Order: sequence, then C-alpha cells, then structure tokens
Amino acid sequence: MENAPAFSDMIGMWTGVCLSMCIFSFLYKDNPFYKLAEHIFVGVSAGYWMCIGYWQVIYPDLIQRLQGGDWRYLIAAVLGIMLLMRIFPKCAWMERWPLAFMVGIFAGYNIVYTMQAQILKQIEATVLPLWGTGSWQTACINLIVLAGVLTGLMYFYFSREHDNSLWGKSARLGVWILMISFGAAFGYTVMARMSLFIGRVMFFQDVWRATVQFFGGS
Amino acid sequence: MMSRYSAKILLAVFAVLMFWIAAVSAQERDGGLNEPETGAARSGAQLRPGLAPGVSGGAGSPVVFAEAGESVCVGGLYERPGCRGYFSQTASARQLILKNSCLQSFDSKENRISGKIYIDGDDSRVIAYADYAVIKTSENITVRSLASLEKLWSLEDKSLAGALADPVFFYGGRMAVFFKGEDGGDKKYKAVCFKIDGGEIVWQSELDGEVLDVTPAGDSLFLTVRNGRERLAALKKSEAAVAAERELINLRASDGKILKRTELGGNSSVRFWDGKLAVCQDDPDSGDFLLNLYDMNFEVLYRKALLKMPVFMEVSPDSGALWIGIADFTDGKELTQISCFPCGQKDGFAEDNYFAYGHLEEAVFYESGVWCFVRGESKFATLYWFNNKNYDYLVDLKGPLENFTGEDFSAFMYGDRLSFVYRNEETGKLELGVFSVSTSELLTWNDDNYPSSRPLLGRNAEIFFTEKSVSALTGKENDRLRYLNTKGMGTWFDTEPLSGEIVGVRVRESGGPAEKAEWYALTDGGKIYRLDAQNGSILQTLQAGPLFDRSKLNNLLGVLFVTGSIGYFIWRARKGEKLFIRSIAGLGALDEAVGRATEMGRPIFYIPGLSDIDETQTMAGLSILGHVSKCTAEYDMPIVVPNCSSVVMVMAQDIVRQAYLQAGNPDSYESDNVCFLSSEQFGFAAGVCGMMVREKPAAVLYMGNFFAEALMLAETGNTAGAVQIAGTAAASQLPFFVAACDYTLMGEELYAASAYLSGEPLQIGSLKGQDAVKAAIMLLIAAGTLLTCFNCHWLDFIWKI
Amino acid sequence: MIIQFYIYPLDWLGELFNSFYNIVLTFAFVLGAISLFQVHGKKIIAQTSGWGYNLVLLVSLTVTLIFGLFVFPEKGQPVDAGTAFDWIFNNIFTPLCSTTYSLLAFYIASASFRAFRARSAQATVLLVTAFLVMLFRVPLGEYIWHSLPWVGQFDITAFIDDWIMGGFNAAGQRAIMLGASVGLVSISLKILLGIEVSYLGGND
Repeated sequence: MENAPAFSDMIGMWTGVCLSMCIFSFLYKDNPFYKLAEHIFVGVSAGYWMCIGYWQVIYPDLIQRLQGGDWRYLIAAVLGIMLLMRIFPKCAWMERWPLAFMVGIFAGYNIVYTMQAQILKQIEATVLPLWGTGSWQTACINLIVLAGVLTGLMYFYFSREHDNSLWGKSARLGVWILMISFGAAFGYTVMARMSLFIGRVMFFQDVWRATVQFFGGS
Repeated sequence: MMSRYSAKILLAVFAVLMFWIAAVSAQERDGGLNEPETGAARSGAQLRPGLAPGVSGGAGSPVVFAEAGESVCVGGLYERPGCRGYFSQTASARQLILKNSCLQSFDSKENRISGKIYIDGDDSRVIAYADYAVIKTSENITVRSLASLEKLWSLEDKSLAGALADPVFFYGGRMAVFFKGEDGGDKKYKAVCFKIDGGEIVWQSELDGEVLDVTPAGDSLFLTVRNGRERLAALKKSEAAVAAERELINLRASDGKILKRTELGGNSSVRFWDGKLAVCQDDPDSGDFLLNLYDMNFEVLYRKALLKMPVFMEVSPDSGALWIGIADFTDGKELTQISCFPCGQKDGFAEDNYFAYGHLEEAVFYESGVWCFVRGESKFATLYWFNNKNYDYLVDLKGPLENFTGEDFSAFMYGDRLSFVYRNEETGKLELGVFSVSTSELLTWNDDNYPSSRPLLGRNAEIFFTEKSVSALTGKENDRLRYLNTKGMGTWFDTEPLSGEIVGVRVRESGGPAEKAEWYALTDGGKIYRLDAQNGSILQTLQAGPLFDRSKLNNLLGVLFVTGSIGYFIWRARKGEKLFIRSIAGLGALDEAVGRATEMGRPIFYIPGLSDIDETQTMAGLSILGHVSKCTAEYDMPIVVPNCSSVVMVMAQDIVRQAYLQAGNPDSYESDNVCFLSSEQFGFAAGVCGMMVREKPAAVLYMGNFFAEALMLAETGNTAGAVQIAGTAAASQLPFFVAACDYTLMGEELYAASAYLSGEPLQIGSLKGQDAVKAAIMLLIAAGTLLTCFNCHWLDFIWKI
Repeated sequence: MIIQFYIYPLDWLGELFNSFYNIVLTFAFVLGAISLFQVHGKKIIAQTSGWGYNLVLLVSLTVTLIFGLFVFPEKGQPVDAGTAFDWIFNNIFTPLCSTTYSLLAFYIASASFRAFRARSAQATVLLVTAFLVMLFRVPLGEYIWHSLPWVGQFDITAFIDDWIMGGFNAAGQRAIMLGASVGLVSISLKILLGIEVSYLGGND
C-alpha cells in the first residue's frame, strides 16, 4: 500500500481542487469565486511566464553569453533597452527601432518558409493521379481532393463576383466543401474536449483518495 | 519625434555595425584569425574494426569523405559499407564528398574539384567502386565516372528501374543488384548482374523473395533471402514442419545459376570462414538458436546449440579464426561468452570458450586474438585479451560507466599497439592509453591543457583530435586539429584553427623523399583544407560545397513570381486603373458592429489573437484594428483591446492612440483599455471571459491567430449578447468560429481585409496580385494532375523540394 | 532572413536574429508587468467597485515574481523543481490551466447545440458531417451501424477516415491553407516594401 501523503502535499492538492471548483462555477454564472480564481490565474500566469522568460532566455542567451565574451548580444541588449524607453515619453520614439527589427525578421522569414512548407508542399500533395491508382476508391478520393482544392481556391478569388456563371457556381460548391471540412473538424475534436473534462474528474478522484488515506492513515 | 538627421545617423551606425560583423565573419571563414578561447570539442566518429580509416561523420553530419567500397547516404547519416565483394582499390587519389545533396569528386593529387552533381532524394546512396561512382536510390541505380561524375548509364535508361533491395555487390568489374519484386504481381524478385562499364547484362536469376544480405565466397554468392508469400505457401504445403521465413541461396557469381538452397529461421547471420559457411540462425523446426557450419553444398559439418543469437560474429582478418560473442545473464549478472573457432580444423571443430562478467562493448582484432572492452558491474571497464591460447585480465580503465560507450571512447590497432581513448572518471579528463603487446606495457597520457578534445581518427600511430573554439565575433565554432603521434610517445601537435567543425580527416602519405605527407581536413562549412603534416599549417583551402542551395531554386522562383505579380498590379493601380474586388461578407458588418455599439452605449472588444508579431495573422489583425479604432474614434466609443503579448500591446496602444488623435478626440483615448493580461493561453482566455461577462460589450472582434481557447471566447461572447465577427487563418479553429460567431473571415479573407478596408490603390493592387498567384496555383494543380494521370512528371520540378 | 535561406554560408544569421528576437520579446515582459500594475493599481487606489480582486491579482503577480526571480534554493535556480515557485506552478497554475481547458467540454456542447439549429443549408451540411464523424468515432456508433440491415456490412469507420477526413476535410483544409499562405506572403512583402504600415499606427 502506498504511503499517506504529507500535510504540505494535502494543502497543495486542496488548493488546486478549490481553485478548480471556482473555475467550474463560471458555468453557472459569473460569481465572486470565479472572479477570485480568475484574478489569481491572471496574476500567477503572467508572473510565471515572466520568470520563465528570464531564466530560459535572458539569463542563458544574454547574460551568460555576454559574460562569455560574445559581444554580438550587446545589440540585443541595446534593442531591448530601446524598447523599454517607451516608459519615458521623451524617449518613446526609440521603441520603433526594435519593433521594426522584430517585424522585419519574421516578415522575411515567413515569406520563404511559407513558400517552402505551405505552398509548394501543399501543391505537391494535391497533384494526385485520377486513374491508374489501383482502386476506384483512391481515384474518387483524389478527385474529391482536387475538386475541393480548386473550388475552394475559387471561393477565395476576389477578382470575380460569385454570380450565376460557372465560376460563381464552382465557388459556391467550394463553400459547401469547406462546410463539410469544418463539420468533420468539429466532430473530430468533440471527443478530445470531453476527455479533458474526464481528466479533471479523475484528478478530483485522486485528491479524494489521498485525503482518505491521509486521515485514515496508510 | 526624432529628427530626420538623427534618424539617418542612427541608421548609418546600424548599417556600419552590420557590415563590420559580416566582414569579420567572412574573414574568419578563411581561417585568417586565431581564436583564443577553448571550449568543449564536438565528437568525432566511433572507430570500429574493419572500417577504412579516415571515415568520419557522426549521425547528422552533412559532409563525409568516401573511399572505395564505402557508401554514404545523401541524408547525411553515415552508413557502414553496404556492399561486400572483391574490390579493386582506387589507384587514383579521388575521393567523393557529399554536402547537402551536392556530390563532388575531389582529386587530391591535383588538389581540385574535378566533378560536381546534385543528387535528389533522401534515400540515395553513393558507392565508390574502381573508377566509378554508383548512386543508388530505392528504385534506380546510376553509374557515373568517378573523375568527372559524368553519367554513364542507369537502370532507368535500360527500362529496368524498380524497387531495389539494399545490398549491391561488386566484383571483377561487375555489379550485382537485387530487385524486390511483388508477391503475386508482375514484378519478380530477381538478381541481375551488369558489367559496370556500359551496363551490359551478364546474367539474371529469379528468386523467391527479397535479398537481405550477400556473403561472397569464391565464385559463390550466398544470399540471405526473406521468402515471399508464394514461396512460404509452397513450403507450408511441403513436408517442412515449419515454413522458414528466410532461406540461404548459393548463387554462382559467374553465371547467376542457383546451386543450392537451405531454410533458415527468422533471424540469421552468415559468415564465410575457412572455406565453410558459418550460420547462426533460429532453427526453423525447433525454434532454438543454432550455429551451423556448412560446406558449400549446405551439408552440415557441425552444429551447436547457442544460448542466444550472438551479439557479434566476425572472422579475424589476421588469424582467420571465427569469433562469436553471446550476451547472457546468470545469477542476475550479465555474462559475455566469447567462443573462438580456430582456422584449419577439418573434424570436430574444437572451440575455445572464454567468459567475462559484464557487457561487451567493443572488440578489436589483433593477430591471433581479440581485445575486448567489457563493461562490468562496477563503474570501470575492463580490457580483456583473448586469444586461442589463454586470456588475460588486463587493466581496469577508470572511465565512468555512462561514458564508456559514448563518444569519448574509441579503440584501434596499429602494429603491436592497441590504442584507446576514454574519459577518466576521477579526473574528468580524456586519457589516451596505448598498450604494447610485445612488451606488455601500458602507457597512458592525459593532456592538462586540452582535456575535452575528442578523437576523430586513428590511423597507424597517429591519432587526430579536434578541439573546438568559439568565435567571440561570429559565435561560429571553429575546430583546431590536434595530432598525436604515439610512435614518438606523446608528441602533441596543433594546426591553425579551421573554419567550422572538422568532420573528416584524410592522410596522404608521402610518396617519396621529395613528396611530403599531407592531411586533408574537411569541415562542415564545406571547405577542404590541405595541411602540412610536418607543422599543421594550411597549404590550401578549397570550397567543397555550393554557395547557393540549388534545392531551393523553385522556392526562389516562387517568391520572385509572387513579388512580380503583386508589383505588376500595384503598378497598374498607381497608373489610375480601376481594379475590381468583390465584396467580402463580414467586412461590411464591421461598420454595423461599431454602429450597434454606439447605439447601445456599450464598448467594443477587439482581440488581436494570442500570437506575437512573428505571426503574420497578428500583423493583419493589427492592421484591421487601425481601421476599427478609426471608426470608434469617430463615434467617440471606447474600444477595449486585451493582449496576450506585451509587444502586441505596445503596437496596439500606438495604433489606437493614433486613431483617436487623427479623429480629433485625443482625450477620449484610454490607455488602460489597451492592456496586457497574461502570456498564458488560458489565463488570457479566463481574463477576457471575465471582462466580457462584466462589461457586456456590444460587439466582439476576434482578428488574429487563435488556438483552443477560441471556442471559449466565442461562446462567452454569445452569452454576453455581443455581435461577434471573427477572422483567422488557423484552420483548426475556423469551425468553432463559424459555429459561434455571426460573421467569419476565413483564411485569406483576414489578410485581404486590411487592403479591402483601406481602399487604397496600392492595397487593392496587391489583392489583385494575390489573385493572379492563386490563378497560377490552380492552373498548376490542374495541369500537374492531368500530366500525372498519364505518368508524365514534367512539372514536378516546380513543387518538388 | 530571406538571403540566409538561400545562401549556405549565411545560415548562421538566421539563428542569431532568432536569438535576438527572443531576447527583445522577453524584455517586453517588463512593459507587460508595468501595464498590469498601472491598470490594476489605478483601480485599487481609486477603490473602484471590486478593487479587492485587482489587489489579489497584483499580489499573485508580485508573489510569483519574487519567488521566481529572487528566492534561490540551496542549489540551482528559483524555477527548479522543489522550490516555492514550483509549488505555485504545480498547485495553482497547473490546476487552473487544466480546469479552464476542460471547460471546453461544456462549451463545445453548447456550440454544437447552437450549430445544430441549422439556420441555413450550409449549416445543415456542417451539422450532418459533424454528427456523422462524432457518432462513428465511438464504439457505440459502430455498434449501431453494424446492427442496421444491409448497410451494416460496410465498414463505416473506413468511410469516415478515407472519404470524409481524407477527402473532403483534407480538400477544405488545403484550400484554406493555400489561400492563407498566398495572403501571408503578400502581406509580408507589403510590410517589407513599406506599403503596409497601419500596424505602426500609420504613416508618420
């Protein structure tokens, strides 16, 4: 038989249970318990990520590198300090430089990596044979994929109106296919969401069992 | 606001700084600077007996040297030689270098790159044989000249391409390949032998399954074949008690005729030893492990039951004895049993058995025996010497258990010296041990100055280490080659620092008194350094890799096409041309939402997503925020913008403040309304839900990247009675927004929204440019599909990465 | 960043700039903390309705920051396992996170109810597809299907996986992804060329 949990563990577990019940109370309506839990959550989560950000980014990637003599990272420190100059109204103009730098990095990055991973890869995956695949089911599915992608792209074409021409009808067919796609994605995630709640119930079970053990002895 | 003058100065300083860093980095790449720092060295390859010396490149290394008989994989992972047979060693000094799918032939006599090609496909292997470079994929083999890499012939040209098994066998100017075939299909399992010069078929032989391994013996090829379904069915119908999964076939190498075959079990290992075949296998009838010694007609000469399948079975190149190692457990301890079958036995087949408690890590053959490194219960490794006369417990190596099999350990023989490198647990330093068999003397070195170097190559009496230093300016790791000559008993030697990590070293011996010995060091930066073996100085530097990544050419063309398309339509818009854009449902509702909020006197909530500004959806969301906040500013309405990212909060504050300024209502701007909540996804969601329920906004706009919390936010907004408009390119969340919101901008509509709302000609022009790209994509997909249906792959180069 | 993608010897630039980005982003946390203190501090000082909750938020934030940055254990960092910060993470942060996430089970039920009212033909299609996928992903659905006469002999799971998920769903997702990717490249180009500046607050 496993040992009874320690008193400090019990405090921790019951803190978690109480806060969880406060969150669940939101399902009924907004109430002081939920407000309390919500504000604690916002405060703790904001503080958590700030601390993690310091110990996982600033300390190893900046402080330790500068201590190791890698002076390139002085540029990052300068940019960071320029961003903080926003606090002082007279120096607030400095913040635009690091912002421009950050926007520029990922604007450039996104162009080439999107072209590589999204556009070219998706085209490659869509170009499939419609016959000679070995089975009629595969051929039909390939045809559905082709038709769905083409009509979907027609829907997103902004230069032509979705009128009663062949183009407009194709674009409307694209919307239907998108709706089927959304329905499938919706149905697919329902079970996953349910399992999250089941997980919480099991947590409450575990805490109750531990409490019984604590008071009842091991 | 800073003056234009000071802005220009700042820009100039920044540009100069960037230039300086780039220039210094370029200099360092030529090995022109000495770096004072030392640091932990990278690992080199583990040396194993039987490998051609100088082969290097750990897993993931992008560049390797290859010599005759060696094969390397295009993906960069080093493989053991995939073929065995009777090679002729290349007389020339040509070597093959592979980097990022660019294969080059390097002539170390003339010190130049004599041929270069690009190889596609992650499954390509390159094998050097005689004067040929053979490139094998899973379905085709191409034979090229080793010197110029010019294509000579391929299986595809001869309409012979098809699924190929792994082994390739070379002998006497010929190449035998094995086709995988199909069970019950048109394609047959078969072995085909080609003349390597010209590709003429010498013979073909049909098999019953896929060839797994090839063991040459004289004029015979012993093929281990995994039986296909037809063969298995036939065996089941026959008298065989159990249908064997594998069989061993004796195929005559000169004409491909199948001479004999015998069933093996599921697992098997075959070695040609002393004119016989030694086969360790699962017995197909009993399922026990057996060692069978067969003659060439598969008559059993000797049979012995084994405890388990051996962990190693090798024939000593010096004494010709067969050594088998089996790992077993007894009394809870691991026991290694080493069996030796000496050569020259005709009857009886006496064996010598040795035992050592512990796990066999490494075995190095030497003369009549084998050095075994065994890791025991204690933290120490033990070196045993086994030969067919006795065995000796030799020395406790004071190396920590976990490091013993790691990259710090390697061993190799030269002459009568066994050299090994390991890390001493007590001192933490790397130690080099050299044991002399003739004098039974063990000598060790450790170098106080460079404790963290790792061995890269051992050859003859020479051991090469690499030692890393990190550039303070570029942060790039540059390796220095350290050389120890054990003959001179401890002469350490350093080269200049080379640019990048050294992944391979070749030694070119001196051809005579007038020709000095040289080393070639290959770095992951794609440079070959020719070094003076006397003093380690750099004699020459060659660029071995391409500057431009050719595999990304189609990407570059795509980017240029998109840029050109957008640029063209922007130019047309600038000329004043009216460009038509259809209305987008949902964008018209934005103004309605603001109007509704004004009537009800309740605020508008705008949520720019959960991502940072590295996500383009966030940028699109912030662009739309600009338009929305202009509307709210004109109506003097409060807009609340809770943020998940501090940087996005900063930008959102500027946008909203600017909007109120331009509308002439600067006092109406409340900076507290554009606030930061939490970087945690559900912390943010909980906070926003609470705000929505309390403040009851009239409209909620979700524009940006969202994750699982999207549903929570949208449902809470519904409960609060707000009109909801969502826009995201996150395909996984669109279904929830479509279900819960009044209007949804899907995917590209989010990116188009900013252009649509502004109505500026440049923006509309860019939208038209996007449409042109989409039209091109549609045409490409349609054309590509049509061609693929007829088995034409002319357009594949456009999207194949 | 574009050039380093194509030119081998420059690939170190990408890693360097990525590091810089992360560092500057982390510096921005200071601004976030200041925003929180400003917004909630004002409410506390003005003693607006519910100021107690704002106080709770600031106290939670401050306590977490103190334990996460300044309270060192005997060995290691304040954020290591076994510290007070770790206790806060395990017993406050994690239960709150998991519970908020689990609320989605209820929200998806209410969203399904709303979607199932089928206000339009397209919503009906969404409803029917979602219903089919939901039902036949669970053993009960398969049991019901197999008990039906004649149609029960066919494999419904394969139909859902191959035709709906592998066919229609894949087509829809791909169309959205392709369109969004083109839009993404376009907006990134506009940002680089200076055509799109509204994220900066306009042309000034």
